[in-house]
Amino acid sequence: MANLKDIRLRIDSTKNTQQITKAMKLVSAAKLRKAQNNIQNMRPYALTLKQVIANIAATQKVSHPLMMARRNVKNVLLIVLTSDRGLAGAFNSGINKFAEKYHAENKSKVNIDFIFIGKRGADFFARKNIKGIEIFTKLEKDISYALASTIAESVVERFLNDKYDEVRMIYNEFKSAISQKVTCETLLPIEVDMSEAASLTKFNADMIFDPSPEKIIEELLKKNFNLQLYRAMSESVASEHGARMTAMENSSNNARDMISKLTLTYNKARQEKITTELTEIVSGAESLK
Amino acid sequence: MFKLNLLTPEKKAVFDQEITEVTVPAYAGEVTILPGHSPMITTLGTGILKYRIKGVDKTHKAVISWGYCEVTTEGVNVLAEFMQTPEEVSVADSEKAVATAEKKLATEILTDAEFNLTVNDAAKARAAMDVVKH
Repeated sequence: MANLKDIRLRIDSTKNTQQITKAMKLVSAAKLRKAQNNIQNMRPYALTLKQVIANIAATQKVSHPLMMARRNVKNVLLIVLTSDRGLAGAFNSGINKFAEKYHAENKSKVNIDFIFIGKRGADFFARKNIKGIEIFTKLEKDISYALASTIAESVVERFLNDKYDEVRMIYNEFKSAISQKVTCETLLPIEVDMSEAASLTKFNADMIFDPSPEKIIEELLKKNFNLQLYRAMSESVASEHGARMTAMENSSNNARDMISKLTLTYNKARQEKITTELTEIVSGAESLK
Repeated sequence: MFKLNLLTPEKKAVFDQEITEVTVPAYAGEVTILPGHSPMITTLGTGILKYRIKGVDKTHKAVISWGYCEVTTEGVNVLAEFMQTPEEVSVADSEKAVATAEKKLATEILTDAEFNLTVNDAAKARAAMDVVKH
């Protein structure tokens, strides 16, 4: 039977852990709210941008290398989006497993290069001797649009130089605070949904363009790509906090269960000890008679 | 009805605001748009955006950097990558930013992308100082 003191120590240490996980849960909840706001604030901008691109492409009959699908896909750039910190349930391992599987399945057909955003993904693949062409870590501070555009610009440049035929990104899509989905999305070439243009008939074909439509659409497509990346990063951050919140909630609950079990054992042991002592005293007194 | 929408990736700055005129730093230079302007699409550089809300005798200003502006019969839609109101500008920070950017341009060897970025940073900071002064 376990020593009473040992049990008490275990209860205390579990209580400490529970306090930490509770605090982490609250922090994540606050950060999650902020991240969710971020996603919501971005929506009108993203929607307008997408619509304008579709409108210009449809009415002006312009196209751009960024929009054209390439027939022979030989070089693929994979952007793997993870977080810098752990303790977030399956958040990072899900991404890493998915990326590894994708790499294993496709490396015989195409040449795959990686860009890692977030330390967890970079470390995971570094152990497997796969190095990213670029690694971005230290995302503790809020991810910003400026950071997203820096990454996006270097990617677009590589794509336009024909270094890569396709750019894909693996990240956690934010479904809700308790559910995230590992998603693989093709970022480049950009798919333009022409059906959206039809919905907006008021778009005037005699519009004045300054500079030319070709030039404008090039800029818009680049900005759209920046935005896509920023959106994915925001979703990933929101997912991270959501996942961490759930994980911490679960561990707080586990700690609570464990404490109640331990307390029960502790009380039983204490009672047994008292009973034994009583019996000893009583039998001692008996023997003196 | 002539309305202004000003959106950035981080916030919805102005939404469905009825205005009498708006001035934007367009591709070819500053453009003032009044109600009844013919439909137009233009890209915007770094500079100051000014607008007057209907019935309010005051010019509102904001620093914007890269954007796109669409004029329709109903109003003006501006998408800007970066936006700052005069209240948000810190002159000391802007002066520092201009100094760093100028030093970088003068001393370091930069790629085209870095060069453009640095020039833009300087322009942004200068516009920020202008918006506070005037």
